[in-house]
Amino acid sequence: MPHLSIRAKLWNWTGFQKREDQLTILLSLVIGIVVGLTVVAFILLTGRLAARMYPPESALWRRFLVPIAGTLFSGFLLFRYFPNARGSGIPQAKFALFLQDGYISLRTVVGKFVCCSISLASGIALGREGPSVQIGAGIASVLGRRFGLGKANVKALVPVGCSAALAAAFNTPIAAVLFSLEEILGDLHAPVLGSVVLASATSWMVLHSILGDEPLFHVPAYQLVNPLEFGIYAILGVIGGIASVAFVKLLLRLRVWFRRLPAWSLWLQPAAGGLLMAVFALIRPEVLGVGYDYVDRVLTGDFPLKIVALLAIMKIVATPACYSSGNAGGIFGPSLFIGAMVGGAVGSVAHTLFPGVTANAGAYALVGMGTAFAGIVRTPLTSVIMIFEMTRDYSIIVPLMISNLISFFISQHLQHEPIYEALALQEGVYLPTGESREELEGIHVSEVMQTGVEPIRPETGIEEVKARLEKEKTSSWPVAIDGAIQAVISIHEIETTEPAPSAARDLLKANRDYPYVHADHPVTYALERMGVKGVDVVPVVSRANIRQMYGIVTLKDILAGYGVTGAVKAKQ
Amino acid sequence: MSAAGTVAAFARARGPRLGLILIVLAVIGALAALDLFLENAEQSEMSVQARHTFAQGVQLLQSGDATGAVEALRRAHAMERKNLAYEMELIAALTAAGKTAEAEPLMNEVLDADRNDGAANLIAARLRLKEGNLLDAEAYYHRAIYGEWPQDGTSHRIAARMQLIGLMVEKNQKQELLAELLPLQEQAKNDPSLQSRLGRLFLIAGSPGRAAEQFRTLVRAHPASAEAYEGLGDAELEQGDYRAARAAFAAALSRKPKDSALDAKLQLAATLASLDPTPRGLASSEKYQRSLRILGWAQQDLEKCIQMTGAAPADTQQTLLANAALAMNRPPSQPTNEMAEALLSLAERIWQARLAACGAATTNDEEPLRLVMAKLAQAT
Repeated sequence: MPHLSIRAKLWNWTGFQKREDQLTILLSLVIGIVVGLTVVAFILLTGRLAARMYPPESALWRRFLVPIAGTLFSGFLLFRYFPNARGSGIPQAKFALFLQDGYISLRTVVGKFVCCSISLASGIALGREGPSVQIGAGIASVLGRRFGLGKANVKALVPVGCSAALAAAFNTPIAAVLFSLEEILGDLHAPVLGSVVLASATSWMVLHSILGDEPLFHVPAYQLVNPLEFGIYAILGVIGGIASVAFVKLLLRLRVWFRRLPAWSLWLQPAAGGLLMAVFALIRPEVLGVGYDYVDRVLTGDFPLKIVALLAIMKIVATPACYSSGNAGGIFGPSLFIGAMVGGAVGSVAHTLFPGVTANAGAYALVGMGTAFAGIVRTPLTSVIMIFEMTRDYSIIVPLMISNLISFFISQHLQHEPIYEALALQEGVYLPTGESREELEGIHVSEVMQTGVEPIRPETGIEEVKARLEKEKTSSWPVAIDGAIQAVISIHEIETTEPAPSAARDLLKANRDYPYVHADHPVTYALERMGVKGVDVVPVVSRANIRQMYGIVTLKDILAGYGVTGAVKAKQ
Repeated sequence: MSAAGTVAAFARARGPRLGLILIVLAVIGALAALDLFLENAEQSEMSVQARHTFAQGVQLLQSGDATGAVEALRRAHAMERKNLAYEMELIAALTAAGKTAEAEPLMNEVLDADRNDGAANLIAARLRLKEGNLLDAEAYYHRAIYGEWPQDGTSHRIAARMQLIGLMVEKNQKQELLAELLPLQEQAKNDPSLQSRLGRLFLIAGSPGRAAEQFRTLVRAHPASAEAYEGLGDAELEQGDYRAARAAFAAALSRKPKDSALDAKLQLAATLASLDPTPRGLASSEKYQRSLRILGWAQQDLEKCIQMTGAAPADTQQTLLANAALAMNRPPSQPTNEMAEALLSLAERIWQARLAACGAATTNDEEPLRLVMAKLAQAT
């Protein structure tokens, strides 16, 4: 038996025998510390700046000018120096994970920190948690690259950074782990679980050692007064779900509208959000900023119904406007604010109508927070655990679950794509959805696909197309113009289309909705796509651009992948 | 050379990996320093702001604006959640504003922090009182009295006990009131104001002897105090020592000559002293005369009462009045104590008939008769 050093024995005992695995685990710890410290600085800085820029009971002119000036300045910085620091940070972290092998530049991290500090300090209705996630992911990515990790391990560190950031930003270490797995990775059994937990715990400890043991929200102990309340919580779930859908749809529509504006207006666009905030701030200053102080007050049930309802509506309008106009900031915080206000309003009405059988409006505000989060972000498990961790109140957990699930289902029914996937689609990026993630199992398309294949050109004559299909021994083939895929045509279509086509272009119109797969899809998904479209070839395309063809996968390739002899022979 | 430059130079000298580790450590150190600086700046700023807001809240609460006080104190508490003084003042404001449901969880939080804290228990007692839970309120008052007060414990305990006493006076719980007053006697020795209050409270608790003792001590220490003499007079009056009461009221009036209320009390004491048939060593003839006057007064009272009700006198009332008239119209040549006692017995029965017909309420004119009757009833 070979002699092993103590160090080697120790490493063997941990099970991390590869050097990169060892480094990844150590880096998770370092990422937890660095991200924790950065996020604490971010929280303190944005808080202090906001208190200076628009203190409570500040003059009208100040409330009006600060959001406009702040968004103009941050808009210029975003346009000129940090174009990748716009928006929330969650979609960007996912882009980095799924499209760029975990690459996020240091410039983006710095830009996100600086621009968000400015824009959040100017009182726009966005949150700091989403940007924290991108900052955390960016730090993890930078550290991984600098320490010479391979692409796969750098990629694996992105959710680690996200988890560390969220644990510090929300003071919720368990929810941070869940969010990284549920939303960022889309896999609750991901192999990086250990690193994610380690970074989350480390970051949370950093937060505690500096800011102390204070929950984000202070909630009086609530309890279920009467079982009839479950019905009211269900109604809250319905209203919260509808409010969430309204919020998401408005945000997506406004985003489309802003994207259509001319490119030169890009640096001015954030000021449109700032202008709306300025007008709203003249009516109700509580709408400025993320508004956690007011959430705390609503949780004690101390806000009049009219104000609570008005703030909910204002925030539902203001946050989409600020986000869509290209400001840097997230939607987590505003989701909680909207939820608290909607819940507070429902609770106030319920308590007025049935005072004997209902709890204080604050209990509904608390459940409302989770309801809106589940409806907007669509991570029901994370939202339940997050509210529990934020408030440390277990007694409300069952109503929270009921309300969350109802809101989640309503949101899913009325708005098919979750917000981050819909935003990615607007960018032309096809992120794996929750359903497709489940399909990313078994043999992947990348393992059996053919690369360097020549697509048919549209001007190719039909006889030549037939000859090509004959030669390739397939019944279908992709058509492309200068590498941009247009359609997948089949021999069946050539023979049945009336009038008879003379060239491949005559079949393009009927095939605009062509089948395609991505390289990380399982071959079973490719088979499914073939079955639906009645073809035996599907193109493999980029997630960032579905017209960019990487290669093709054929029925024979798939069979060969499973070791079917005839297919292997045929392939040979 | 700057610190970053030194680190970079060192890093170049020891290879890329070590250099990177040093840079990461430097970044961690810099971030930690930044965080601590920001945190300290925030804490001190918040603390100043919280103190200012707290002072505003206390002022509003003292001026009676409980709603405004709640608003300010809530802000102060949000800024410094760990400051128990802020939290307790907020609970007090919430209680004053009637927001007991909101105050309750905060109260539990404060009590959980220290179950023996006197101030916390006192606020809990007030909260329970506002909620109408008297039993719990009393229990919390006792915990406040015997709890821990970090500063000026004696005066805080006395203040807490006085609040409980106030509650008992309001609820007319004389036994419990007396039990709370007794421990205060020792503490009141060097506090004339407390002694005076204690004397008055002993009177309310139905212990005029202890009240008189308090006022006597006070008179000895402060012979120029009209209030002390007046209190002593009231206590003596209550004990039935009308002569001593008259002397005390006279002494009080000599120190506060223009006080009409005091003068009225002196007149009452004088009347009672001349009417009282119970003093030892009183001659039989004098006792008979006083008894006769009491009987006559009682007879007039009952007749007035019958007139007021407008109903025909009952047989028992007629018999009593006839017996009284008979006794008054046949004065004996040699009055004895037994004859006087017989007259007083008749007067008492007439007074009982009057109480049965017209109730216990009396006019100012009837007050001497009521007091004499009360004393006679006590003696029997």
